[in-house]
Amino acid sequence: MDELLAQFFVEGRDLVQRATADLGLLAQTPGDGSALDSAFRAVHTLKGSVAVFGLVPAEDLLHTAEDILDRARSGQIPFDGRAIHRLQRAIDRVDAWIDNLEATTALPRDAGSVAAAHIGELRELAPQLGDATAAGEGAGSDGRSATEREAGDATWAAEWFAAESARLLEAPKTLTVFRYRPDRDCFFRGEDPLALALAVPELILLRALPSESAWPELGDFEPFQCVTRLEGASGASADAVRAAFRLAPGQVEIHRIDRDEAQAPAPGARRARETILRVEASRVDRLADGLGELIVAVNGLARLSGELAKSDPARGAELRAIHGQLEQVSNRLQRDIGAVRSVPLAHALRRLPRLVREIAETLGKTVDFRLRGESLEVDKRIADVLFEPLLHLVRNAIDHGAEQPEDRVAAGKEPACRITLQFERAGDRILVRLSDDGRGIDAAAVRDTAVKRGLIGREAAEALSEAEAVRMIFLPGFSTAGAVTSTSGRGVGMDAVQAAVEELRGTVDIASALGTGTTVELGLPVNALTTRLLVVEAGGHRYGIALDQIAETVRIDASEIALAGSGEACVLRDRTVPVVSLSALLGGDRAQGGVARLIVTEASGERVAIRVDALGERIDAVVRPATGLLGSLTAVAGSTLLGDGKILLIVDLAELLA
Amino acid sequence: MSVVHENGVIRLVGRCAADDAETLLNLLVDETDATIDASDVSKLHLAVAQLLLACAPRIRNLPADPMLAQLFGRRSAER
Amino acid sequence: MPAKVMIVDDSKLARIVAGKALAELQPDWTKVEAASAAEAMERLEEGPADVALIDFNMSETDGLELAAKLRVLYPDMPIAIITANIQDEIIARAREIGAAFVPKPVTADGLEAFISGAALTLRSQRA
Repeated sequence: MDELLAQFFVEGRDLVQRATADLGLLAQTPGDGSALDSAFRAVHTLKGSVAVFGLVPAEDLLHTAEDILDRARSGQIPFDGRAIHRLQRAIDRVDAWIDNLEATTALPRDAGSVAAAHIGELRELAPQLGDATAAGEGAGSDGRSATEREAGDATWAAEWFAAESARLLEAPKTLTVFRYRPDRDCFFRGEDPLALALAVPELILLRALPSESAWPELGDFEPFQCVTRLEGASGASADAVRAAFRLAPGQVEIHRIDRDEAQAPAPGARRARETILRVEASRVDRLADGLGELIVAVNGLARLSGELAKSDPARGAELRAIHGQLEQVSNRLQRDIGAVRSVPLAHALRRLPRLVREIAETLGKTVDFRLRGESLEVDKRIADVLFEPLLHLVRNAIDHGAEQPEDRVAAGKEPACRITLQFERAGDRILVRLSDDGRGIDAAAVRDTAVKRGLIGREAAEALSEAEAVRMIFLPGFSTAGAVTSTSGRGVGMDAVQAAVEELRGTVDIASALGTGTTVELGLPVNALTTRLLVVEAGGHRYGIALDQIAETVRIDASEIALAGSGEACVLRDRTVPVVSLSALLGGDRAQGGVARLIVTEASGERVAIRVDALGERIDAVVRPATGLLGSLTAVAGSTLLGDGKILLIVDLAELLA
Repeated sequence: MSVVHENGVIRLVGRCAADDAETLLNLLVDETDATIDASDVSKLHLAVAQLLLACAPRIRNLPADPMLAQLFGRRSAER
Repeated sequence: MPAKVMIVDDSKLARIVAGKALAELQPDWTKVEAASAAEAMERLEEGPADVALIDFNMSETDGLELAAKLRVLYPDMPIAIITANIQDEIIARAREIGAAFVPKPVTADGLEAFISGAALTLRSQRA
C-alpha cells in the first residue's frame, strides 16, 4: 500500500477518535473550552490530511465542521446538544469514508451529495455562514498551518500544572518533574516508593495515579502488589532529584521544565520528546517466536543444573546461578516484547461508538453508550480478535436488551437504554464487562427455545437454575435468530462469541435479571505470548493444563470419592463436585491409588474435579496451536516443547468436559 | 496497632507499614459502609496509600501531613 | 510467624545495634550472628536462616560477594546489604543479586521497609 495512505489511515482515525472523545466530553460538560479547542484542532488537522488525497467531499464537510467549531469557540453561536449531534454525524461520516477508502481505494459515488446534506445540516447551526465554502482554500485558509496548531498540545506536566497553579504560585520558575513507575513486586524487596518520593528534596507537588487505567476494584486488589505510579515536581536540580532515586534506577523519568512555558499551551510550548517508531507487526512476532525458543532452551538448563548438582554440588550451584540470570533476562525481554505488542484497546474499538449509533438508529432505539477503561493496553492479538465478539454482544444488547423509549419510561427508567462497556485489569487478566439496563433475559423463554431447537430435553431444561438456563444462549445452534434482522441475524450466534473468547483462553459469563438488565463478563489473559501451565501426569503420560483454567488443586484421600449415579463425586468446601479421571477421559484407565490428586476447574461453567496421577511443576511456555494430526484430536489445545526436547500436549479442559 | 476499626470508622494511626495493607483491605471489603479516618497517620507505606486512593470517597479525614494530604486532595482533577 | 535472621558484621557493636533494631520491629524473630563471611557459611550449615542482613564493609570477603553466594544457594531469601556509603556501582551489583540496602548505622526506621518486605516474601513462600 502507498506509504502515505497507510499513514493517513492510522492518523486520520486517531483524529476521528479524538474529535469524538472531545464531543463526548462536551456533551457531558457543555462549554468545556479545552475540549472545544481540542475538537477544533482535530477536525482542522483531519481536513488538512484529506486535502492531501484530494477527497473533496470530505474536505468540504470538515471545513464546515471546523467553521462551526471555530464560531462556537468564539461564542458567536450557541454550542448545544443539537450541534454536538450534527457534528458527530459528520465525523462518523468521514470515519466511514476512511473505511471505504481503505476497502475500495475510493469514496462512495454518492459522497458529494451526502456531504452536501451534512453541510446543509451544519449550516443551520450558524445561519450567517456564507455559501462560499471554497474547499480549494484548503488547510491554509486561516493562515495557520496544521503543525503550528498541533504544537499547542501540552505535555502531561503542563496539564497538571494548570490544575495546580495555586500551589505553584511561590515555586521556582524552573522545576524538575519526575514520573516514577515502581514495579509490581517492589514491596517484597522492602521498597516503599512513597517514602522514596517524599524524600525528594524541595518537593512541591506529588500525586499518585493508578499504573493501569484505573484503580482495581477492592475485590481484585492484591494488597502487596504495587499498582501505583507517582508523579511529582521539585524545586531542586535534576541531579539532586536523580540522586534521591538512586535506589530505584531505571524506574524514574526526570525532566526539567519551565513552568511558565509549560502552563501556557500556546505556540512554542514543548511537546513531550518521544520518538515513535512504527514497526510491522510481523517483525515483532518474529522476535516473540525467537524468544519462545530461548525460553525453551533456558528451561533445559534448569533440568541440567539439577542433574549436575547431584554429582557436583558446587558446579551445579554455578550453573543454577547462570540459569537464574538467563531466566531473569529472558523474563525481562518477554515483558519488553509484551509491551511492544501492547496496544490501547481504544484503537481497536474506535469504530464501536459509531456502529452503536448506527445500529440504534436503524432499530429506532435510544441508547446511551459508554466506554470505560478503553485506554487499557492489551496484547495486539487480543485487541484484534476482540472487536467482532464485542460488536456482536453490543448489537444483541441493543436489539434484544434495549426496550423502546416509551416502554422504558412506562417502566420508570430513563428513556435511553444505558449500555456500558468497561475494561479493567485484574492481575494477569482483563475483565470486559458489558452491561445494559434493558429488559433482561427471560430464563423461561430461553428454556423454551432451547427445547424447541432440540438442544436439551424439557425435563433437563426445567431442572436448570435460572442462571444456568440463561447461559444456554451460548450453546451452538441457540441463537440462529428467531427474527433474522439486518442487525442481529448475520448467522453468528452467541456461540461464536464464546468460541472467539475461548480461542484467546478467555471465559464468558452472563448474569441477567428480568426487567433490570443483563451483564456479560469476559475474562481474558493479558499476555497472549506465553501461557502458565501446570504439568500433570495421567495414565503414564504428562500433559499441560493452562493455569487460568484451574481454580485450585487439592489432595484428598481416595476413600472420600463416592459413587454418584453413573459417575463419581466428592465434597469440596461443603459442595458436591463431580470427579472425572483425566486418563479415562483421554481413553485410558481410570486413576487409582490411595491419595487422589484433583484439579478443580470451572472452565465449562460448572465446578468439576479432574483426577490425575501426579501434579508436576508450573512452567511458562509458548503454546503452539494444534495443527496437522494434533488438530484432529479434540481437547488438545496445542503443544509445547519441554526443556528435555519432549513434546507436551496441552489439554483444553473446557473442550474436554464439553 | 495501626489499623483500627471502631464504630463504623476505620482509623489509621501512627506508622502504617506494608503488612497493614492486608488488614485494611479486609476491613474495607467486610465493612462496606465504614468511612476512613487517616488524620493520625504519621507514616504511610505505598501499599496502604494505594488502597486508600482506590476508595478515596470513603476517606473522611485526610492525613495531617500536607504532602500526604495532597496525594488524596485532587482526585477530581484527574482524568 | 517468626523467622530467623542472620546478621553478618565484623563489628560486634554493629551486630548488637542491628539486633536491637530488629527486636524493635519483630520481637518474635530470632537472630544468629556471624563475624565474617566464612563464619556465616558455617552457621548456615548448622541450620538455615530465612533472612540475611550483611555489612558491606568486611575484610576478606565483602558483603556483596557473600550476598551473591547466598543468592545462589537460597534463590528466594530476602537479603539486605548494610552500608554507610552507597556508590552507584554497588547499587547496580546489589540490584543484580536482588539485595536491598539498609543504611548504617542500622535503626528501626532504616530497617523497617526491608523487614516488612521480607515478612511479605516469607509469608507468600509459606502460603
